Amino acid sequence: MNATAQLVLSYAMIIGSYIGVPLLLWAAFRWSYRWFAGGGRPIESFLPHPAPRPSRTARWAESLLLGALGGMALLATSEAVQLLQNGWEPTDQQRDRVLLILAAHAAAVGVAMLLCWWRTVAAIMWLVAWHVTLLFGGEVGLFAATRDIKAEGDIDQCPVIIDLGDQTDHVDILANGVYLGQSPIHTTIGALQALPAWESAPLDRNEDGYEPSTWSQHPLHVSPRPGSGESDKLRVFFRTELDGTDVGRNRGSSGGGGTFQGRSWYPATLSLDVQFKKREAVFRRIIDHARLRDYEVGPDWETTVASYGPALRNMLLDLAEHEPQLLGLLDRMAAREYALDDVKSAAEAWQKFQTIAAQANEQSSYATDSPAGRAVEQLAKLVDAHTVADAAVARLRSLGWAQVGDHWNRSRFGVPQFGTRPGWKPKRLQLQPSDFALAHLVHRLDRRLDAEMPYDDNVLEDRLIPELARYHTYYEISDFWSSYLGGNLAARLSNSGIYASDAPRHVPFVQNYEASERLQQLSKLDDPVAKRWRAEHSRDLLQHAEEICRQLRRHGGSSELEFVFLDDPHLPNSLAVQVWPFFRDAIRRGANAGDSHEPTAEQWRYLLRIEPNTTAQMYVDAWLVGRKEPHFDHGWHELIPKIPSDKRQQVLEQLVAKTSERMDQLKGQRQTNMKHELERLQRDLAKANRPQRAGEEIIDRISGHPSDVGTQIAIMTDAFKADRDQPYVQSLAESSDEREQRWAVAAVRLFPTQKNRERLNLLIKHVHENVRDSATQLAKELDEIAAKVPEPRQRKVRKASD
Amino acid sequence: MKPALLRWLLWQTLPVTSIAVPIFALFVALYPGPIFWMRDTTLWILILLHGYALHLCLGRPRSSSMAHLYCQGFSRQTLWRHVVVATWLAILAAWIPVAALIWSPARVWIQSNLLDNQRFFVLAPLERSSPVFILIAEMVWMAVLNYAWVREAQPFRGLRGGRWLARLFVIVALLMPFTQWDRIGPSWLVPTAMACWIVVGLIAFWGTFRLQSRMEVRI
Repeated sequence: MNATAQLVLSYAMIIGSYIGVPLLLWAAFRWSYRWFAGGGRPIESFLPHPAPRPSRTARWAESLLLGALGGMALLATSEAVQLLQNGWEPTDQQRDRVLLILAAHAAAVGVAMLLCWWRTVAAIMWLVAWHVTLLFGGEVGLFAATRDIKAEGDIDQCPVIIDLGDQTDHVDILANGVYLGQSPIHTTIGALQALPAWESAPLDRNEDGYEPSTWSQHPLHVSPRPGSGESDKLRVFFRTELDGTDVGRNRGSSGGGGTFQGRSWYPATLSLDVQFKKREAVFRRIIDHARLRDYEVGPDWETTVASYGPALRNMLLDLAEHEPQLLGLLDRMAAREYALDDVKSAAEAWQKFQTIAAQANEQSSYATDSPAGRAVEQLAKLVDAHTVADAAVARLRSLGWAQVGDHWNRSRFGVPQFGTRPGWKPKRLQLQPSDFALAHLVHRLDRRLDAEMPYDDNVLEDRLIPELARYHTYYEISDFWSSYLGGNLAARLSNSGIYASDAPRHVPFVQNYEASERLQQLSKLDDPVAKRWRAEHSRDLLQHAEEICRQLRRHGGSSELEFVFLDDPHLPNSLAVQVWPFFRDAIRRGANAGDSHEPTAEQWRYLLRIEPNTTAQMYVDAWLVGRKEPHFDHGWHELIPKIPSDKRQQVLEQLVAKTSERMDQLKGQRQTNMKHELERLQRDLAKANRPQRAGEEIIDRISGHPSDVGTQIAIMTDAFKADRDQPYVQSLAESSDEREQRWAVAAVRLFPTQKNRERLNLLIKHVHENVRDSATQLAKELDEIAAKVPEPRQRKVRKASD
Repeated sequence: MKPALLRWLLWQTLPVTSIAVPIFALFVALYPGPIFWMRDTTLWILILLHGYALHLCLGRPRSSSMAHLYCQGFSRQTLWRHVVVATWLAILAAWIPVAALIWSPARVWIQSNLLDNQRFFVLAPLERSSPVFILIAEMVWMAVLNYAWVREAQPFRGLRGGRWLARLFVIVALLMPFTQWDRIGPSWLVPTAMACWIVVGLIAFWGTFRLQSRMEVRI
């Protein structure tokens, strides 16, 4: 019997029982009444004679009362609530069950109203019995009746969506040698199963022989049996090509869905994470063009950037964290697109925002990293806070409490991209794309107002926090909103639900320790009011940190201590400085128990964050702890150059002396290992004894990896993030060491800022021929990049026959 | 209206009122969350107990006190009218402190300063309309109870039906806080339920009004 027939039969049985059973009872009662009332012979009429006036009044009154009370109970049943719940999207089976129960309830009320015209007592008792059953789990029987209605999905019909993780669209996707089309691909499992079967990926040939295959295998999980937890896996080899020239290199994939619920499929999704090397090279040229022009670019540059969509925008936003001029360029693009230069007043800014919000709804898409998102950030500087507060309050009220929650969380705005994907269809009464734009505006405006009045609650905090609090009457709300807006009111209310004010809650990742919700929230909140609260409750926070240290384990827990570094850890009496002894003891305990990962490195990182409140002896003591398990304690070597130069020499002298002593006590391989370590320390010490020059720490770090280009680049990138002037490049360029000069050329190529471009002139005139040549070649290349903007992306559609 | 009769009836309700007023007042003053008439089981139980106790004092046409009054020459209509008014006044006596606490700053002050409920002042506006709902709920419950006893005093069969109707009312009333439906339902749900509630009260009142002239007083 198929699923539909089973369902129809169940419907018929249950509804039939609710109408049929009362009718059968009626017939049986009528027969027995007639029989006994007639003394063994049936009497003429079963129904009583026409009722007198008061009796008729009672029948009317009671049938109407039963109808009204039954109607109320109908509304109040958990099934009706589920059905009416905002945004509830039931599976087919759930919907069937709910409708079934509601239909049965309606039938029961109807039967009761009819019974009133025979025996009102019987009608009332019938409905009482029904409601008692309903109240105390009568749904169980109905649930059991529909429980087995489980259909298995036809796996061929399962929809599949294949896209690229970085949202690059119009990429050619091939599967098992067959061209599927341009991303995003909408297909089915059946279509993928019909592809030619491949056991393995074909090797790609090049001039030198074979190279790693450009085909990569990605699994799609499909579960056709609802609730079984079992899934079938389909493996297909994919290849991606961008505009016919750039073949994607696989970096992995992610996916989900592919489950059969009731009688419909949730689509299986597969996001391919690929790297397009040629496109990345173009991206670099685009960015370098801006750098070489000192971020003064023309409309051509903007056109090129716009043509590459979110993939390039995200890259620019990532870089903008340390290179704010790039953010300025994105803002200028947004200003041009939305004519923001014409916006002069708060009213015009609000009008412009509404246009952007309406556009977001039309396109079913809004993202903070899009030009629209950048425009909203700029409008936040102009809009009137009261107008925004009015709009946000109205929207919160119309959405209802169930919809307000994680979408209003500030952390969502901390990441470069947040919003809705194109084609996103909100559920009934749910957030629209324009709501994301409004939330974004509120967040940015709140930041602006916080900067103007750090310790006073602004109008957004005054108006929105009570609204949000009201919507979360009984639940923990601090996670949702106190971290979103902050302020005095949020700090005052940042406890759990009203029934558990300041109740202790388990601290994540820390075993056997509970702390008050308020303490946990305000210890982490990056907000001026929370900062003041921390200053006032430093003793509580110290105890809190001490408890966390007491329970620290090898995996996790340290992250819970991050709060100690929030408020200027470099001050002599800072919380971080006070917590250091507890942290040190915790690491020592862990090391003694063999339960500590890189104990020296962990302690040194902590000490580096509380500089200058350390001594050389503190570094040495921390190092001695890690000597017990040297195999798991290597990370500290990387940190030596970061130790302030006034302590580094002392530290290294003691480390050399202690290593030397230890080496004498060891034998065999362990002694050899220790000898290597001693030699390394002695080299470090020799460097520490040299006179200092600009950026020497960076140069030392680079020279520690003479043949590892990847690490060199990472170190140079870190240095660029820390100081965009890059004084070490100057030192390298002025060096007489050819190897260091090469690093200087590499640094200029990596970060062709105007200053570095000028430093390149030094290298062009240099004595070493190789350096001179590569510097000259680089200068030529940079001149070309500065002169010409790369062409915008030319989308090409591959023919299926290619 | 006969003031002496009304006064006598109110005197009968005094024990119930003297217990109900402090209980209601304490409940409202100490209750930590905003009071929602459809959501709080305790409030519903208090309303149901208060109404039942009032009816034990006043509402039974076949009680000896009613027989005594009937013997004094009051008609059944007069007695019923005065019972209804006395019941309403007794409800108001318990309700006025509740409304005063909620509508004045007193409850916010008690919660914020005496009970350290820091969140209450932002939640307080949510319960502004609850006194109206509490009053309506009490009135409707009284109408249903009144119907139950007047029906029991009728000269026809099925006299127990009124009591069962009152029990059904209790079940439906308790279904609402149990399911917490108003919190996640659409915005029209609460007004619809309120309308149903008022309809129940009006039907019960209409039925009682039609039946009361034929009720039998047992002497």
